[in-house]
Amino acid sequence: MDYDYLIKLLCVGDSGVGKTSFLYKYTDGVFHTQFISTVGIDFREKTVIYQQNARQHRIHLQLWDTAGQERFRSLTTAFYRDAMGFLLLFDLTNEASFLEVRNWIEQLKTHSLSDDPDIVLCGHKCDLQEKRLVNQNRAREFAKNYNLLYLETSAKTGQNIDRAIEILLDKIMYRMETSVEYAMLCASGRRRQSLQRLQAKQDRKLCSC
Amino acid sequence: MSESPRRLHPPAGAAPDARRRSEGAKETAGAEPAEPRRASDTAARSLPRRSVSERRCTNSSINSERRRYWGGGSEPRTSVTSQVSQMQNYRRETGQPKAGVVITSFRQSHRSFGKDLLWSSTSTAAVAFAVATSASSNPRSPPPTSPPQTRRDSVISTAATMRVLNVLRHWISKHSSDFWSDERLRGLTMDFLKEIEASPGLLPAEHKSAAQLLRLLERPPDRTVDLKALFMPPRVPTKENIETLSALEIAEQMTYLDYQIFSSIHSEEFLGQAWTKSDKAVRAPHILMMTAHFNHISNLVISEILKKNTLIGRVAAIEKWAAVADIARCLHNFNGVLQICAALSNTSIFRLKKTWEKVSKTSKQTIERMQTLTSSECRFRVLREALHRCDPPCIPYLGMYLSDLSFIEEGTTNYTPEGLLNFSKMRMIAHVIREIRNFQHTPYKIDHIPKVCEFLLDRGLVIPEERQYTLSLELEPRAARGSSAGLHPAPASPASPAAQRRRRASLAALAPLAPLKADH
Repeated sequence: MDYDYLIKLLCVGDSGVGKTSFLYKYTDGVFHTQFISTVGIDFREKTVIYQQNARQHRIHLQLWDTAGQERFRSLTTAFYRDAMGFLLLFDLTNEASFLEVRNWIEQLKTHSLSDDPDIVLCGHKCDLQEKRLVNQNRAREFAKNYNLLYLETSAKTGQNIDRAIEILLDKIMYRMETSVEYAMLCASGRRRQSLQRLQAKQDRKLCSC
Repeated sequence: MSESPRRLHPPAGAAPDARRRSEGAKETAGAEPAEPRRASDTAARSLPRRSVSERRCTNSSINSERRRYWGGGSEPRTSVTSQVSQMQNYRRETGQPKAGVVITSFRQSHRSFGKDLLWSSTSTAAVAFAVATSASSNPRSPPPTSPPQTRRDSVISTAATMRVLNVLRHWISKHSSDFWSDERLRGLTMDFLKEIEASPGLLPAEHKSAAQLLRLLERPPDRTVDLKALFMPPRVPTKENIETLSALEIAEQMTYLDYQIFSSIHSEEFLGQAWTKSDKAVRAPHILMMTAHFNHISNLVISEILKKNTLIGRVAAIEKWAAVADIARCLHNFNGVLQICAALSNTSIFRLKKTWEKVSKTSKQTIERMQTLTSSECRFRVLREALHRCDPPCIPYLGMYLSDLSFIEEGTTNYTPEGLLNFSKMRMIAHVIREIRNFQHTPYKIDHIPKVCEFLLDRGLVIPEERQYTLSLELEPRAARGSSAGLHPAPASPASPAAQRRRRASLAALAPLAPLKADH
């Protein structure tokens, strides 16, 4: 498999908010019937072409969710550190899952490497309008307070599924671009050490290989 | 008795157990058509395997047997005994048909009867099997040349009796917990077996078989560990700590405890993502216990490290737990390895830069090796390979299977667009559960050491999760945080397809937003 960048995204949220179906929809429902017996094939992967300043990058996305393992809390928090961006889902028809979003943000801030991780907040299952319990304005207001982007998504209709990941990818690529440029200025021969120092100073994620 | 033997719904008033199983019956119903040849195929195929799908078959057929014999009142019972006596006569004439080899004996009898032809040429083993699987009901339209009804009946009932006994033996020996968790089922089965044992017309082999099964049902299985009592936190705080206990003792007792829960998980708990549903405590109690215990041990490991005020103490604690994890790995207790790896890669421990600097090189290498082993990369690729290579006893990491099951459940529908059962999905689920069951069956030869288990189960030793991070900050204030990540590679560093690129991936963990060039 050929690609320029490997980017790992993590999908978080209460169990039952539809994380798996979200990612499943995004990967075009590609599901290998043999995937259980084939070791190492991950259906939560997708390679996309990303346009940046007239340059095309092949980006290999790894989409992670902790489906089924949510209760192994001590283990799942370790996943946060490896992700470069987060999709934070709640269920628009389940108020409790919305109230939990605050805790999720705290968790991400504690356990991810950045104090200000890239997060896109998704109100999921927006096709179920008649069962909806979380008002759109309320969710927008909340997202604004936490400086998050907010989208309403549905795995059933496919609404905003691709969009949510594109937006998150934009944020990550922007951060990476600015970081790389900044790193280019500072890093000379002993790039790694200087980058480490830089990171210690700013606690920002940057590196170029 | 004349109606179709495959019933989709349990009879009114059936035990809740029967109702539950009827789901299995529904699923397998499609696989057991009335058509004789395929019925025999199904039967023949299902016998030698140890699989969950088979279990479903077994359950469903037993279910219909149960309904036939016990659901329908007294009529079926009398018919069993009467046929049985006829069968005895038949057996005397022909000699020796062996128990269990229904098809063969059938064919032999065909030949041995010579002029007095018992069976028409249209009779095949498949027909006999079809009849046998529908128990003692008569064939709908006997061929014109068919022999007197009584003889035919007797052979058929031989087949039926043996088949019922075989199915029962399989159910009782492979899934005995079904009987010990349902007194009514056990009682009915024992009544039935006693009746077979007492009926004078049956062959000695059949009596013997019934008696054997009865004995199995009378004596509770040897391994009746009371999980609740075993996992009860000690009344008085334990005096032990990681310095007083040896790494071997800790690893063995961790394995002992893990195996006790793991082997008690019922296959039903894995169905329908029961462990995530609101009634999870009823439907998946052992899975919940497994996860709770996993988190407890991880938190214990974190706490035992954070409790040490001195850097030297923390280093020693980390090295001790690394040794424990390494022994757990040798014991094939991958669950235990993950418990400790999860703790060591928890933010509160992972960020302790100064501590990690002092950890010995060998311990770091051990930890690194184990983190590669338990990496969630590519759906736990390395762990899966290790599991497929290793011989039981073994405790796999359950979360991996729970993820698989979640993806299967959510990624595919239960029914095809034509409204038929989605068999490939059911097979995938069965495949996962069978793999788990394989590991459940081989116990460890480890003796229970109460004082070590008390240490492992003492809730009082655990620092609450909210407190762990603040305590970690107190031990090593934040300024050091930024570069702490570089000290040892992340447990599950971003995946890159080739092994040689893994080095770079660990660098990427140092700066998670780093562009990772795939090829240079």
